[in-house]
Amino acid sequence: MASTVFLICQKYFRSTTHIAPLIVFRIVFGLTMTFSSIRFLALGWLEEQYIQTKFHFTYYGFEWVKPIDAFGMNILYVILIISALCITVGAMYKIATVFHFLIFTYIELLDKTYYLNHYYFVSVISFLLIFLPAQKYFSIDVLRNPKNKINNIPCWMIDVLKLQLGIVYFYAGLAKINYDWLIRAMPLSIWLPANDHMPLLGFLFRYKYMPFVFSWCGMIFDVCIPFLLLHRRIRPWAYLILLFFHGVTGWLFQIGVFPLIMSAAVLIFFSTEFHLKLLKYLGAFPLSEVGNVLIPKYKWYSLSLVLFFIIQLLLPWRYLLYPGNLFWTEEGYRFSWRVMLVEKAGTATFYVKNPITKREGAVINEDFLNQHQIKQMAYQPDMILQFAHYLANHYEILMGVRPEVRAEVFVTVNGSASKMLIDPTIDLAKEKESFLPKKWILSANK
Amino acid sequence: MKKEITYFLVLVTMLLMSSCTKSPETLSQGSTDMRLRFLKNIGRNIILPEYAKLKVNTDSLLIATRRFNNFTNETNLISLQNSWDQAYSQYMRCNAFNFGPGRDALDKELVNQIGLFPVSIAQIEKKISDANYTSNDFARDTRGFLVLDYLLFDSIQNNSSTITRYSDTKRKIFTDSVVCHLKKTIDKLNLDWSSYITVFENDQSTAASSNIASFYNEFVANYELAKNYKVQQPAGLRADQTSTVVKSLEAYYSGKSLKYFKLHLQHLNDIWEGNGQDPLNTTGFDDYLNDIPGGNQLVADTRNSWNEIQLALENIPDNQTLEYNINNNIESVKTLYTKLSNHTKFYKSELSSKIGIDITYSSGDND
Repeated sequence: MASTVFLICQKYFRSTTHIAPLIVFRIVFGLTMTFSSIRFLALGWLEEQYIQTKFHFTYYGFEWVKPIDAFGMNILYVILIISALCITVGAMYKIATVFHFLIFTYIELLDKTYYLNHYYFVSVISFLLIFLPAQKYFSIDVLRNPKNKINNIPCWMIDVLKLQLGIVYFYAGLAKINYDWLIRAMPLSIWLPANDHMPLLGFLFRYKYMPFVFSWCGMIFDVCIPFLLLHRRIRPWAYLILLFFHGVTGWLFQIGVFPLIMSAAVLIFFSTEFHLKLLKYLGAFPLSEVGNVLIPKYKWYSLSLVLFFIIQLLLPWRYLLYPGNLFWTEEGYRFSWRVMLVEKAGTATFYVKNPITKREGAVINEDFLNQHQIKQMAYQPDMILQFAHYLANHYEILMGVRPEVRAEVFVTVNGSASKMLIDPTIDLAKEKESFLPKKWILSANK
Repeated sequence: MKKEITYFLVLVTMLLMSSCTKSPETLSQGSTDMRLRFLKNIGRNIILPEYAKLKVNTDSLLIATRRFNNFTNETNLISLQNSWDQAYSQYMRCNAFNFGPGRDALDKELVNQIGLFPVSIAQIEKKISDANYTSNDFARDTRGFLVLDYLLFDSIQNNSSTITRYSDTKRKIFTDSVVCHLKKTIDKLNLDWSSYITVFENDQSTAASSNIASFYNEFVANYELAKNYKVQQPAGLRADQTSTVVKSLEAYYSGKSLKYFKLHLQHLNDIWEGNGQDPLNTTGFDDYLNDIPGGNQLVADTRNSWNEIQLALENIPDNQTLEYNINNNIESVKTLYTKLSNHTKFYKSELSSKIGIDITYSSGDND
C-alpha cells in the first residue's frame, strides 16, 4: 500500500505540463497588485493608516516591526509598485518577488487594524511566487537571456497555486457553516436590506428569504467552487458563477480589490490550451518554439512545500484550542479565511488609575488612535490589551508610577444587544499577551 | 450545453417572478423607502429650518453688535448679550451638521469654524491690539461664537468693565469682524444647503461616503464631543488630568455652559427621535430601528438610558452654573459623565450594527 502511494506520488511529482498557466497567473497577479498598490497610495491610505497614526497594533511576536518615516514609507510603496510591475513583465523576477513579498508583508505586519484576508492572501501568493519559475517564459528576463527559457514545468508548480486558492474558498465556506450564518441568515439580514437601492438586484433584498438564499448560496459556492473549477466541462460555468458571486459581493460591500484578485487568480484552474491562446493573443513567442524542462531539486522543494501547506491547513483550526465562541473571543480568528462573516461593533472606554492617589480618569481614545483603529480595537480583545499596555506606558511617564488600566467594553454581534466583552475590574496593565486563552474575556452568554 | 442554459434561464426567471409577487414576506428593515423618509425629515424638517432660524438670529446679532458699537451703553450691551445668547442657543441645534456643506463649503468643519472652545484670550487680545481683523488665518480659536462669549461677558459678570473695554475702537471693529465672519459662514451654509438638500434627501446609498453614513457618523462624533469636551474635560475626568479645568468650559465667561450643554443634548435626542419643525413628521433613528427585527428593544434601551441622563441632569441645578457644580457638586457631575458614557454604545455600536452603517469617519476596505 505504502509503496503504491509512493509510486503515485513519484509519478505525480515527475509529471510535467506547459508553463503557460503559471505565466498568465504571474501577469494577472502582477497587474492586480500594481493597480491595488497605486489605488492605495492614491486614496491617501498610506498617509492615513501608517504615517499620521501615533500608535500601531503590532502582531504578537512582531512588536519589533515599526514604521519608518514618511519619506521612507512612500519610497517603500513606490518600490512595491515597481516590483509588482516587474512581476507582471517578468523583469528581474526573483528580486521583484522577494521585494514584493517582503515590503507587502512588512506593511501588513505594521498594524493588525488593517488585517484583511485578501492582504494575507497576497502575502502568501507573493511568497509562493518567489519559488516558482514564473519568469521563464514570455518575460523580459527570457528576452534578455533566451537560454533560460522553459516550456515545461512539473505539474505541482501550478497545482500549488490551485491548492492555495482551493484552501481560501473551501475554508471560507466551512467558516460559514454556523448557526448565525445559516439559520439566522446573519449578518446578511442586516447588510442586504441596507443595499436595497442597488440597481437590478436591489429590489430582491427586501424579501425576507433573500438573506437566507444568499447565506446558503454563499456557503455552497465557497465550499464547492474549487472542486467545480477542477472539472473541465463544468469549469466555464463555475467561472461564470464565480464572476457573478464576486461581482455582486464587490458591488454590495466595500471589499476593495478582493473580487478582482480572486477572479483573476482562479484563471490558473483553466487548461493549458486556454492559457496558451491567451498568451498568443498577448503576443507570446511562437508556440512551437522548443524550450527546456525544469527539473527542480525535489528534497528541498517538497519538504518546504509540505510544511507550508500543513501550516495552511492547520492554522484555521487553531480556534478549537480556545474556549468560548470564536466570534465573541476572536481567539484564532485571523489567518483563517473567515471572510465577511460577522457584523460586530463595540464601544470601549478605558480608565487609568493612579495607584498612589487613587484618582481614576477616562481616556479619550481619539487622542491616540485613528477612527479605524478605534473601531477595530473596540471588539478585539488582543487589541484592547495592547492599547491598555500602551496607555500604561504612556501614563507611567506622566504619573511617575505605573497606573492601573481597566476597560469597559460593550460589544454587539450580528445586531444583538450589547454585552460586556471583558472583565471591567481587571487591571489590563498587568495582563500579559500570549497565545494562551485570555481568562479575562467574559462569556458571550452572560 | 443548450439544455443547461435553458435550465439556468428558467431557474432565474422563476426566482425573479416569485420575488416580484407582493407578499407579506417583504422586509422593510433599513429599506430605501425608510432611508429616504428619514433623510427627507432630517433634511427638510430639521436641518433647513434650524439653519434658517440661525440665519435670522445671526442677522439680529449683527444689528445688535452695530447698535452697541455705535452707542456703547449698558442697555445695548444687554441687548447684544441677549442676541448672542439666542444665536448661540440656536447654534446648539445646528452644530451636529458637520457634513456636506457643513464640511465641504467651509475651510474646516462647522464646529471647528465657528464653535471652537476654549478660545485663546492671549491671541484675541493680540489681534485687537495689532488691529488684525482677519478671519482667514489658522487661529480658529480667535473667531466664532465663543470669542463673543469672552468679549461680551466679563468673567465676574460685570457689564461696566466690559463697557469700559469697549471704549477701544479696535475692540469694536474686532467684534464686528467676528460677527461678520459668523454671518458670512451661516449665510453660505443656508445658501449651499438650499441646493444640497435634493442631493441629501435622494441619496439612497449606505456606503461609507453616503449622506446617511456622513450624517450618522457626525451625529455620533458630535455626541462624543459634547460628552468629552463639555463635561469630562472641564470636570477633570480625563486620564491625564489631576484637577478640574473649569476655564475649558463652553461659554465659561457668560456662565451659561449648563444651559447650552442641555440644549445640545436635547438637539441630539431630537435628531434621534426625528423631532423638527413639523410635529407631524418625526421620522428619526427610532422609526428606522422600529422597522428592524429586534430594533424596538434598542429603542427602549436607548430611551431608558436617555431618561437616566435626564435624572442625572436634575441633580445639577439650573440655578447654579456648571462651573459651580464642578467645584461644589462634583459627584453629580461624575454621575452625569458616567451616564453619558454608558449611553455612547446605544448611539455608536448598537445603532450602527442594527442599521448596517459603518462607524467610520474615513473610507477603507473590508473583507
